[in-house]
Amino acid sequence: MAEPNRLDGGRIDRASPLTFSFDGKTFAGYRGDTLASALLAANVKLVGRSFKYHRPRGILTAGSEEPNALVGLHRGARHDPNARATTVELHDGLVAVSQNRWPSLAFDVMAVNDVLSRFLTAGFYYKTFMWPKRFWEKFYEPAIRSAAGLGALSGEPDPDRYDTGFLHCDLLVVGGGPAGLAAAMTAARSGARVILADEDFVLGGRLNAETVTLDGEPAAVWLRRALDELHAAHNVRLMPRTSVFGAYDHGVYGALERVADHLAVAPAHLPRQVLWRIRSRRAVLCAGATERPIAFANNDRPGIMLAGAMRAYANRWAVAADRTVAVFTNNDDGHRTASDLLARGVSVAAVIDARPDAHAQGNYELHRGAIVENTRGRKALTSVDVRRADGSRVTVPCGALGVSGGWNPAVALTCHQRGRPSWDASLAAFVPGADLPPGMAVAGAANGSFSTHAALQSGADAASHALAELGFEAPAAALPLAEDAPVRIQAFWHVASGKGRTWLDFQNDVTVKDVGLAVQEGFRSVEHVKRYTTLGMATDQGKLANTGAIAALADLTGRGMGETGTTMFRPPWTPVPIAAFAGRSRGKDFRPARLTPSHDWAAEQGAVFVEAGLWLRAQYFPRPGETHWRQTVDREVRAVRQAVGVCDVTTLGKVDVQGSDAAAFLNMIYCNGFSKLPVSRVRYGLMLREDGMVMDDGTAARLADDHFVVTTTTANAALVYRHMEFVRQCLRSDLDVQLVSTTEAWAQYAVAGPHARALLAGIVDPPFDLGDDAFPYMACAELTVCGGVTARLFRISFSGERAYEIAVPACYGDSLIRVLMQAGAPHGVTPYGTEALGVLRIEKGHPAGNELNGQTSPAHLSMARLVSTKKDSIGAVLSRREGLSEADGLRLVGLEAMDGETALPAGSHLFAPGRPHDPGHDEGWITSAAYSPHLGRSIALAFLARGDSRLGETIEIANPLQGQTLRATVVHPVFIDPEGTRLHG
Amino acid sequence: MVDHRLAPRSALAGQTSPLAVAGRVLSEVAGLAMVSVAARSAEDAAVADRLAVLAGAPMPEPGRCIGDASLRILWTGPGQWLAIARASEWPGLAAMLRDSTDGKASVVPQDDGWTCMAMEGHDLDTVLERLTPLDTRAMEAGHASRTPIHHVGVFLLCIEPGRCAHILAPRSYARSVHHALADALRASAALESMGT
Repeated sequence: MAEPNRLDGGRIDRASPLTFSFDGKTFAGYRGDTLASALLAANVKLVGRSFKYHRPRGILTAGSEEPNALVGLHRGARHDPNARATTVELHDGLVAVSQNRWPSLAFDVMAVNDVLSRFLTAGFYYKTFMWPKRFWEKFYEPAIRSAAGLGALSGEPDPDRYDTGFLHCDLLVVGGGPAGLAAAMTAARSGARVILADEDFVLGGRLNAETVTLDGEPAAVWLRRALDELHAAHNVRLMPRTSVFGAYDHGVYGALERVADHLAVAPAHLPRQVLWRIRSRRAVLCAGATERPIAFANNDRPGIMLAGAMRAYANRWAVAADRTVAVFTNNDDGHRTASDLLARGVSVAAVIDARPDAHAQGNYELHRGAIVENTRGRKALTSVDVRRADGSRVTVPCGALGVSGGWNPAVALTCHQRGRPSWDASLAAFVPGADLPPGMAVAGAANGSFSTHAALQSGADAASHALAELGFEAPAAALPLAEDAPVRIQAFWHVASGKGRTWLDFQNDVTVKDVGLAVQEGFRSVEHVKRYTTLGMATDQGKLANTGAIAALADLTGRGMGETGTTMFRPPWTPVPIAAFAGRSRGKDFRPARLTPSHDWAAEQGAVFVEAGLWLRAQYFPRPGETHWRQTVDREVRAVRQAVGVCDVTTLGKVDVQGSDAAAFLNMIYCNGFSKLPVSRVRYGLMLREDGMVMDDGTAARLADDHFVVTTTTANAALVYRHMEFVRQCLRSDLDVQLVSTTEAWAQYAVAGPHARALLAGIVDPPFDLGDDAFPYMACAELTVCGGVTARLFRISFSGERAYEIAVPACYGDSLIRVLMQAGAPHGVTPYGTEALGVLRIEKGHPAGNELNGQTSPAHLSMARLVSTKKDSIGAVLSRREGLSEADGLRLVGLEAMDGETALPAGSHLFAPGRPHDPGHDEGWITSAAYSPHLGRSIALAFLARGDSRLGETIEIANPLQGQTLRATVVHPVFIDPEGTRLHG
Repeated sequence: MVDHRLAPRSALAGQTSPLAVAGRVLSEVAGLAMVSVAARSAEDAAVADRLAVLAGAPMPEPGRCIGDASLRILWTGPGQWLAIARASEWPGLAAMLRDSTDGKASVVPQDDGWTCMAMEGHDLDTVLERLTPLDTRAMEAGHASRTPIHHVGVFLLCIEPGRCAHILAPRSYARSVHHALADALRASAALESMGT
């Protein structure tokens, strides 16, 4: 529990001590610590193993760019792999484990890869594991995946909740450092709606990590005041712990808010993380900058970290990376680290500055024009080998080395809409290009304005300018006096001398030599080199490695930095869990479910439900003793054929069509005629697409001269309504017709079977006459039932039996089905589901979704004669074109299994007996299949070439998926009552 | 002959309604009559005038509704409106609308096609921001818009900014939408319980 590296001061809450564990060992820390700062305080330097070579790795950074210190958090289903220890906010009881090592972090068997490294360079997999080809999937890939890699998921469902949401603002400020705070304060005073988001859990950015003064006082004093002012402003929303990860179209930004990750125990119902879509009118990017390392031999040893991170640990978290440190730099910023650590009582062994003209900024030994050639220490740094300007060499003992190769402005979000950064030689950095996402401005270090003064000023100016464009008066906030040091840097990327590998990409184990190999193999484009070497991939997305790699590539190809260019930056800036994208839409809430008014009744009956689009429909109603679904379905089918059945058909689409041209409109959308349909009659309608294929079928009932009710299939309800609106608004706006969807307003039930009329007679109100003369097949009426409830009755049949569909306002649906069961009991009423519905319609040869699959013409359905030639209708002309209407084309037929019960699998293809089963001899396929209890054998509907002229023929059915070949007889598709005597009663 | 009677049942019957969560209440507004009115060709203005007489106020512009809990009229499209009334106060609403528009409009009863849910309480925008892409903080009383909530196209009516919103969901989706609203209420309450 000792903290040998903890210093005094810092911005941690020493009154709130915490304990946590890492690899099973208990450690102490404070509120305000990150996992990384607490581990460093305890002098834990080895925290992970590298991806490929399993090299020992330590904490490199103090932010979201961390490539090394990836750990697994939490136990069991909550296990969270690849968490960056540098961003994990410490809480009491936190459990963390190291990754990618076996059996332990200190002794990792796979470190043998490192010994074999000369064989494992870039492109190794591509060259080595190509043959035999079939080995890749079964052997090589699994073997490589288990040897390399990072953390693993628990494999259990994530027990946490996630949420998504939408925010709106005039100005989005991305980043809460000095630039972002100045921008937000300026905007706050204008009255504009402002959101300030920062990925850190405290706002202030580098102000928390530096010893700079503002107005002569420590930065913390001004920072407190600034945050108080922003907290008090009602028009400002402060969002710490929120990473803005993507810049999308129209000022929309994606942001991930970590709501509960820092809580030991979260309240019930609290989402762990929220994915926000922020719609901003303007945005100021104040994302700061990321320090970059210098590549030199063995620059990945634990204890070597970025100089700015070393300073941040000392100043913000009161942690020395070691009691004796050294610094390797090519710019003045490295010297800040030396002087800050000296001031805190840490021993600075030396500052090695690559610049011959460097100046010391404190009382430490400075090697000018010097470089670090190598490092020593097994699992932690013990010394560095320095070559001085005069060529002499010296060994500098130190437990930690701070490295500064300069700072990269965080330009990623400026590039999310294909913008490219440009090279600024004076800063030795890529800065945002001219092609920013619309509405975005960049300020502070993200724009290459590195001093505190420049950050504050540019933030305030950017906000002021953006808001002026929106019409707000927003004078720049009064800013405190701050340092305005110029950037003094000499570009220096990697040390060419020295023995050992020089690491560019710590996360993917890519060295300068690997880039050289890629160039040697002929790769020139930075994008190709990235893919060949894997540089810049994985969780850190090359935040540290890119510039160094571009420099190495530029060097080798003799091009400049700007000419070489960067790879494309894409969202997300930091990793976003898939669970956060899903939000609440997971498990049974993945999508909404549509329930019919009598859903609860069906559930009470023990119905098995099936998804039909978003609807849940009763598939069948098992009774005690029925052990197989087909027993149930056969019973339901027989009940309809012999007595009466009731089926919920509420899900069918219903469109109310009114207007003086309503009949003309239906004539347009249906290929068959509707203008002569008498009032109180229903007609089957076939709807074609423009290309002549069948879109949908259904019925239209004429309730009045200017009033029809159209029904559609369940699946196509929305499609057909949209199509009808398109025709109404765009093709025939001359017609007087109004459309209103009433699918939701009516509960509708099919009452089918020989006793259907007797059942209905028990509920319709007098004097309505259900007699066949008064209410024949295809009649319809508006009436009342059960003592005055409005209803609609249609005498239509999908089953081929005497059948009716009765509709009542949806609130009465539940009650009506119960009444139908009660009133029907003496008549043997049976509820039936979609499965029996399917069997009944197959027996009757009615096409449904399986037949109307978008490739079916009226001729295929033997309905070509239905397409009226006496009028124009959508699709009529094209339905007659060659290929859709030829006499020897596909026709809908019925098939009867020759051996009775063996199922004829839908999707099987048809062949003439004895012909080869290949595409050249294919004669059609089965669309729908069922066991017909009525016929006592398996039957099917199929499309068969010249089918209408082949009744009685034997056909061979190939089902290669199950290695089946069956035989069936071709029959008329109407298996039952082709004369329709049952239908008419 | 047995005398069979039908009893109405609302879409959210059997759900916890009203549902109270930390000072906010989600409830089903039952007993509503809803009727669609669509003007016949070239009759938009005439129908709007006649409806205005009935409602006592001019018909709403796009994205707006007029009226109060007794009778509210919502713009649903060019020349189209949805009248939402307390059934007890407006018996025979469809017939009344048919009479008043006198053949110049198609009148379609929608009584149970939409389920109306009221969300009431403090700082509703912090709940609604988890549900809708609409900028509800910019909505004033009488603003009404189509919006997706949990993938379902609903109408969101601003009754009192930040204090009361009505959500009209297609009846078949009512339970899913209710579940999403309840979930957002609980998430907001949990967040508020943490303080800042």
